[in-house]
Amino acid sequence: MDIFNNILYGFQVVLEPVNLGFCFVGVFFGTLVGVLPGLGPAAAIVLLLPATFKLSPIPAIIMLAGIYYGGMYGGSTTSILVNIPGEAASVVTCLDGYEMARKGRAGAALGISAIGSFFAGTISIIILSIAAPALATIALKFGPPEFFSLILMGLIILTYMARGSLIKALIMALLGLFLSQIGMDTVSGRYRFTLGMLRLSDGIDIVPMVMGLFGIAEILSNLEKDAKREVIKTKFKELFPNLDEWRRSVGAIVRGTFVGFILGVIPGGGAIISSFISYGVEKRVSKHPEKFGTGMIEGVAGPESANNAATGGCFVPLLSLGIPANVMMALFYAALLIHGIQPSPFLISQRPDLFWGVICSMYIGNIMLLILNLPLIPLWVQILKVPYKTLFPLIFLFCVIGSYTINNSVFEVFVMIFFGILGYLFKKLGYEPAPLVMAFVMGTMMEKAFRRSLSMSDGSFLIFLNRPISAVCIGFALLLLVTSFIFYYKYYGKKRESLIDG
Amino acid sequence: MRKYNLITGIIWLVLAILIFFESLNLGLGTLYFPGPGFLPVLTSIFLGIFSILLILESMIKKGKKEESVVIWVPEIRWKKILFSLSFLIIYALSLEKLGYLLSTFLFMLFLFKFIEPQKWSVAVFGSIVAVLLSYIVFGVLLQSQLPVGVIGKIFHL
Repeated sequence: MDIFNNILYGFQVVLEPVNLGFCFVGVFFGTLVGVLPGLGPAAAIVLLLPATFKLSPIPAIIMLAGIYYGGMYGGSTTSILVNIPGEAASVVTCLDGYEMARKGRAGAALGISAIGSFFAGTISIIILSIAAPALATIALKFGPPEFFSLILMGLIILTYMARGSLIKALIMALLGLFLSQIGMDTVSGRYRFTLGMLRLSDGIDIVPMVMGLFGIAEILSNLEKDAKREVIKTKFKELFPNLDEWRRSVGAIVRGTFVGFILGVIPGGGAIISSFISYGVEKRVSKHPEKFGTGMIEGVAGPESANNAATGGCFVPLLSLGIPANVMMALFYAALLIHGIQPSPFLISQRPDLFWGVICSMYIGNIMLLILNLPLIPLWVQILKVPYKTLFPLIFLFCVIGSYTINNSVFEVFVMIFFGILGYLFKKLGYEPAPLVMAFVMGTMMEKAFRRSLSMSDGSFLIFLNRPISAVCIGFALLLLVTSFIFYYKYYGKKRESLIDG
Repeated sequence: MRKYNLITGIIWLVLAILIFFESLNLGLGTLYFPGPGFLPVLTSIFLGIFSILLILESMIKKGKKEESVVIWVPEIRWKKILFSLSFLIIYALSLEKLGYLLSTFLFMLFLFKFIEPQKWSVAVFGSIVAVLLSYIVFGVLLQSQLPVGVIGKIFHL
């Protein structure tokens, strides 16, 4: 009954007033950024990361996690009421959620997405608390070759899952690797690619980089659009779905939960893709697939459950292997490092307070979110009315403060502006920043594992193929790369895009 | 999009070549003990290969029809982006000289007033609130070291 003791211990940690307080702050901010279009959870986490520097790691990670899964709750509100996704994982919720709202069933749509989110969130945390320690025990036996191959496989799956051109995604991943190599080489002590700038000797900091790529770039492309929002007026008396809607939603929620969790664990998966896949699954199992897009509650319940389950799922590889599965987890990886914790298979045994505390905070956070998102919906609707022209100067300001306070230097602000411009151009030219960020975060560890492996094997590359786990990973990565290139050239880009979109 | 793919492809190729030669300078080391330039060289080789693929792809598809992609927005919107970026750069440059309070106030005022124009009263009020609130949260509560600048020095803050 080890796990029960551990969970009990976790609750002891999270019920300390400080931790409980930051859990609330996290889910509150999460819902807020989820509700506000134009500010995703990735940007929000980086924005608040510098604010956690002074905190101890447990409340800091609890709060950042709260922002992530809180964002998934909030995102549906905007999708349903305004037909603009509050964040990317709620794009599909627009399809049927908004139609439901137009038919006067906004309350039911909001209600089912909060309830589905709660169910999926809770189930995924339960699986997480069982799976992560088990996986970590296996991973303790991994050596440098296994880690190198795992990371390589992860990066390749991630680029494969990226939208749009495969070549561009691979280029982005390689650029990320290159960026991670800037600064002092830890083995030889030599400076690499610093262009003579002393500031670059420690390498590029992830915070201004991600703030630029996700924060500044996002504002710039929003400034292009004329954002006019019309909030559907609804009475919020009826937040509970009726009996028929319940009956139709139960299956969708359960299916969404499992689809979401599994896709969360897979590299490059996560909340966004799982919501799309879940929508596809619902459409396929439905007896009336033609009615999707006209306000089917299954099309809301499934994806909204899936994106929440995914948030639990993607913590599994991070907390058990020390390898992030997607960009959001890469940010958590960076956050843990900033707080002096190296994510690895040893994390659970060395910092049980952190692991179990964060897990249990998610149980509590989900309950808080249910309360925040059902009775308090009218409050969020008010916030939706804050116009973007009031909002964007503040986001700019937060980005500047955040990047300045990392080292108290303007240099980081310029790094942020540089990546902001780059990110804006990437967006325009069809380059997705996710593979770049992932490769950047994993680059250092990958290089270390690579060099250690070669030292172990006296310089033979066969070490990556002689060890079964490593060989399977490399083999799978190669297979994926080869087949996707064949697929890519056979049915060129457009079809691939429509496959993912559909 | 094809034209832009060609341009970016060439940029990546040039970058790959630069990284390649710089990495050779750093030293490859041996297979037994890979040096600082080892992985960068591999990175640059693959980057080179994929950028060539991108370039080839954009040239080969020339014959096929392609729906035109509207990449650049009308002039007015363009200006907003350029102005915001310039304000941002000027703000970053003046942050340490003018100090947090003054430079932030001016930055906020410009953004509120000139990017998506609001009334003067709203812009001034909004800027003051933004400066004070952010100062209280970051400067006082979180004890971040925000630059004091000229004004701070005069008042010995």
